[in-house]
Amino acid sequence: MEKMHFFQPLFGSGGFQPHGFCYAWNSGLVWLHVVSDLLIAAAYFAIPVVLLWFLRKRRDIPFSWIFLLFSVFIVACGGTHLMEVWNLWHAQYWFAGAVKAITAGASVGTAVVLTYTAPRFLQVPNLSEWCKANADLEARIAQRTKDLREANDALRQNRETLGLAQKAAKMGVWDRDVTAGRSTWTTELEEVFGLQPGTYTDNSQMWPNLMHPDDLPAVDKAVAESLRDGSEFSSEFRIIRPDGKQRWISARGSVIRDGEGRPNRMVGIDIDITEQKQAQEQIRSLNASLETRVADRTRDLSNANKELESFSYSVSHDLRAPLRTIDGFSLALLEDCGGTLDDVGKEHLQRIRAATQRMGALIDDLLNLSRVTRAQLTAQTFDLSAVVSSVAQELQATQPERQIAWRIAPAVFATGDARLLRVAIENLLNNAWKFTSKHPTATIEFGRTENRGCSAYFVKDDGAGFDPAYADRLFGPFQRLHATAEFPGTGVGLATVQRVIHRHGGRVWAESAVDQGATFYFTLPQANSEGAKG
Amino acid sequence: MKRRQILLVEDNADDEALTVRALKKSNVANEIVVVRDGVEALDYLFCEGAFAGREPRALPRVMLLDLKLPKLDGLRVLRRVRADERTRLLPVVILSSSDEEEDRIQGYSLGANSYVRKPVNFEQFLTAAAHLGLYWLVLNEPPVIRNNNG
Repeated sequence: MEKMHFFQPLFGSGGFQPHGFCYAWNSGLVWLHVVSDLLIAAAYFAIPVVLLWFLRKRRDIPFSWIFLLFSVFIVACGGTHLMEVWNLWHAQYWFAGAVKAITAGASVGTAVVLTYTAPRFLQVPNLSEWCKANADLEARIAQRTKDLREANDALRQNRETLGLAQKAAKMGVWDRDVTAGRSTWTTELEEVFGLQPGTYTDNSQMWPNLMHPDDLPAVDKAVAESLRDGSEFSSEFRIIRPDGKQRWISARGSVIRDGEGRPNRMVGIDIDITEQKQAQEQIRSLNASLETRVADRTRDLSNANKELESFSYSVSHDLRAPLRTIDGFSLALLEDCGGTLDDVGKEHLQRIRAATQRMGALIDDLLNLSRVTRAQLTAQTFDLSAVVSSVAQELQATQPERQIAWRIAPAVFATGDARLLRVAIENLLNNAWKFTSKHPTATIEFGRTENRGCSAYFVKDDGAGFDPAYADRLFGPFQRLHATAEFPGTGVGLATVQRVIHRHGGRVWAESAVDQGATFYFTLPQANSEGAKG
Repeated sequence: MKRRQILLVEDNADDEALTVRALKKSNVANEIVVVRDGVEALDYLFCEGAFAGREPRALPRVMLLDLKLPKLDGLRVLRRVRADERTRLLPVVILSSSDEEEDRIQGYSLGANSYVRKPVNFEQFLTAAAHLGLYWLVLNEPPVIRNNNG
């Protein structure tokens, strides 16, 4: 009852008139106020509901507690308007004042809080900024997506190219995780091993079964070594494909270490080198057979050379001894029994002696020819003019009375075997000397000239010459274009010249006409070319 | 003093006759001892085999050595002669049909004192023999060889 007592002044009319009294109960005015206040109240009650609904839906909205504050303050405002309507008929102004006071408190509180909080509101991006940021983000996402797609495409393309390259190279890539004891193979590697794509399984049986049993221990050892000291793995071995075909593989791999430096992975490639191996084997066997053939040929040649040497030696000793006997005893006969022989008999003996000497000369020339053929070539560059002059002097000394104009070009150098080339020069000058012997004076020339498109050495005389129709017979052994009685000789000299020049890899030829003299040309390969033939 | 001998090592009887004739024609008065092969030559020099009892036991003045010989060829004979203290300084003239450079080089390398080629032409042979006789038997002063055999 005490409580009733306390509230009595609040809900009491206190002797006041209701507010309609002020409007003189003018029904139009009263109802205007009633309807307006009710509508305001309805609106004020509806607004917080909408706000609360909005907040429920948008939990991301910052400062949501402000909306709650607004709601309280607006509901309170709505309450004051309801009180206005109530006061038209009930003069409980204390109660209405209390409601107003509450509204005032809520309003002032809200205003104060808002004043202090407003600067912080500014930090919240406005909508256009939100939209722009959002659009930027969208664009960046789109760009990132595009980049990713391109990278992905490039990666796929690379993968395809790598796949093609592996296929083309008959190779594949493996990656072995040592710690986990697991290997991954590319499909190309499976192909190398004759496996269907995706069928390589990492069980311990598959790998040893693919390996040639003879090569497995060595490969295992090489892998273990690489893992132990981190060195590059490299090995060649044979595999046996599931279809039983054997292939050669060259494998290489690198060791990858974990954070603590322990080898924990090996990555590498296997290449099918069967074709290379076969080619190598072919080359090796070809080489071997070539070497055998060369060795055989060399042995044959060396045997032939030895036979030739012993033949020449034999000729040198045994063929000459009987000649010496014939000549010696012919002379002994002439000396000891000259008195009992008439001139015809003596002439017969002289013919016998001349023939033996001719035979002796033939043997000597033949031996010379064979010596030229067998001799080892020692190439050097030397003054050929000096050799020509020296031979010319020797010739002149044999018959000082002969009138020969020697025209020897100075300092003509040659590269070749000095001893053999001297033999050639001796024969050429002998020839010139001999075929100019019927002329009271003669010119013999030596030099270097252009002939038949190349630079050639030449020996030229103005002697008897020869019929060019027989030029090709000049250099054959025992070929003579003149009668022995006319110009003595064995027919071996020019053959010897040709042998010497051919052995140097050069050419020799002659030009002449009857009674027009003759010119002999020869070439020698240049100093740096290894033209000399055995 | 009796002239010391000339040792001619020659298997060819014709060559032997011609060499002896040539030497005689060149007025070589020394006795010419002829042996037929390399073994006989060494036997003669070292007074062994068939020549064990030969007198006098002195070495010849000069040995004329053919290269192509039965049993033991000339170069082997020369090697043995030069290797033996008793015959190390014996003048040796190689008398050969061969003019192979290899033979000449080997002959001189093994210590031949001369290398003479037997020419086909007998007149040239005579000249060579005369020169030989003059040089080795007249002009050349041989070393004093202490012969352990005699």
